[in-house]
Amino acid sequence: MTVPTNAMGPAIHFERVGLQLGGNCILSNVDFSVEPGTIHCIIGPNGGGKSSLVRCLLGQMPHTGTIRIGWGTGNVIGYVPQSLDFDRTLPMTVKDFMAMICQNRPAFCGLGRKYGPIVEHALKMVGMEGKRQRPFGALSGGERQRVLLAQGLIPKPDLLVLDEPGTGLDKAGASIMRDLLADLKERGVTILMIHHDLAEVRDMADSVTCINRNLVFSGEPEVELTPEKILNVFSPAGGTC
Amino acid sequence: MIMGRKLEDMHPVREEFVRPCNGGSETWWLIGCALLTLTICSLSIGVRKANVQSQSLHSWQLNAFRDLRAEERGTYSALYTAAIEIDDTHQNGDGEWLEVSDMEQDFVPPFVHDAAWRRQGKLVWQRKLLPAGTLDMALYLGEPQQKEISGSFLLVMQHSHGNGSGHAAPSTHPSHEIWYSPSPHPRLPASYTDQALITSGWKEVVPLRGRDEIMRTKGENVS
Repeated sequence: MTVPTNAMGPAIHFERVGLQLGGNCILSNVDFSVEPGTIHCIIGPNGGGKSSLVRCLLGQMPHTGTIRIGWGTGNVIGYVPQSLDFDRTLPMTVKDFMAMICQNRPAFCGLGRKYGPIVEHALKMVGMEGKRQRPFGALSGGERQRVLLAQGLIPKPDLLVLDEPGTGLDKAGASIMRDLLADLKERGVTILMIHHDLAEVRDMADSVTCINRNLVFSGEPEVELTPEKILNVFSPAGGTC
Repeated sequence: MIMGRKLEDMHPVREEFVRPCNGGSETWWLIGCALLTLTICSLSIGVRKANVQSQSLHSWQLNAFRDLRAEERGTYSALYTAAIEIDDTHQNGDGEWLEVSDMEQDFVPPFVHDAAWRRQGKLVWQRKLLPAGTLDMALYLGEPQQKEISGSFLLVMQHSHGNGSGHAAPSTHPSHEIWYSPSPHPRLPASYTDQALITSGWKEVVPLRGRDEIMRTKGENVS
């Protein structure tokens, strides 16, 4: 594992984190750390509590236990959701969407002069610079995912949280995302990412944590992602609280 | 430990604890708002001074609700409604006051001889018109055949241009008045002003309106 010496991103510590919603146990006793300036992947079966854990980190869930973020120089979190619920007939272009995300003034007033180059740069990073004026509802799933990734880059994040960013991405899109994440990592950004492609996790992650309501394993992918463990986790007899 | 170095040594730690979103603050805000609303309401109720009006009747007046018997109240209510009908016919017709016999035929209570009429003392009604050239007035006098059940009623119909001197409260004089006498054969005065009727032993019946009852319930009206 390589750790950048000029790491600026935060370290994250999950300590005995639990979550109960409506009497159902979603998470129990989750205990692991994310090192600064690394790509940390969270894997696990569907309904295992991965997205809930991320939402706990974002302060959107009534979790128990402790989540500590040890910030470096900055404290900006970028978040890329799994999907976006919106009306496809909404007359909103990609530029309008970015304006809505980036600035405080209403999107119908247009993108502010200050944000124009920033948005342009973010869209360029995800290969969507030529589709600024396209209606957001007319984008394909992969294109929309790229735009969601672009909005997570404004302002420049110190911690980037992604919830299954590879969903719907084609080969070119996946390649752009991989390069982008590698670039962000070079710049010291801590990346916490839910991912379901284990080959890709093994390829690009510095560390991996498997969640199935409770912590199954956490460590380096080369060590932890053994066929036995994977088979055990993704078999029908899943873990419980 | 990463590469033999402690995490905290590598990284200038400025720790932030992620607070769980458990809705606790919303609960306190809601309780606060509820308490504030209750406090404001309580203070408003305490501070508000109801404008208590004392509605005292004159000695020559009766309260329709309190001072009449049940049968008399029935007659009074029917007469009150009939008066509006009589006045309306007088104003929109050729200026004639309705005959008692006409109203009896048209089933207008209390003039029609129905079960209620029998129960309420079988009042015998007669109409008296004032001589032409003076006030535009008509009197409907009802005398009971069963004096133990009901007293006598006098419906005084008068057109607005007929209101004049001699009335107890000219400014508030209505187009019709209902007077009551406990006597089965009361004495009718020579002139039909309020003063004359009062002198002859009649008492004006004052109705209890919905607004009066609301004010009484709220404690704004002490009668």
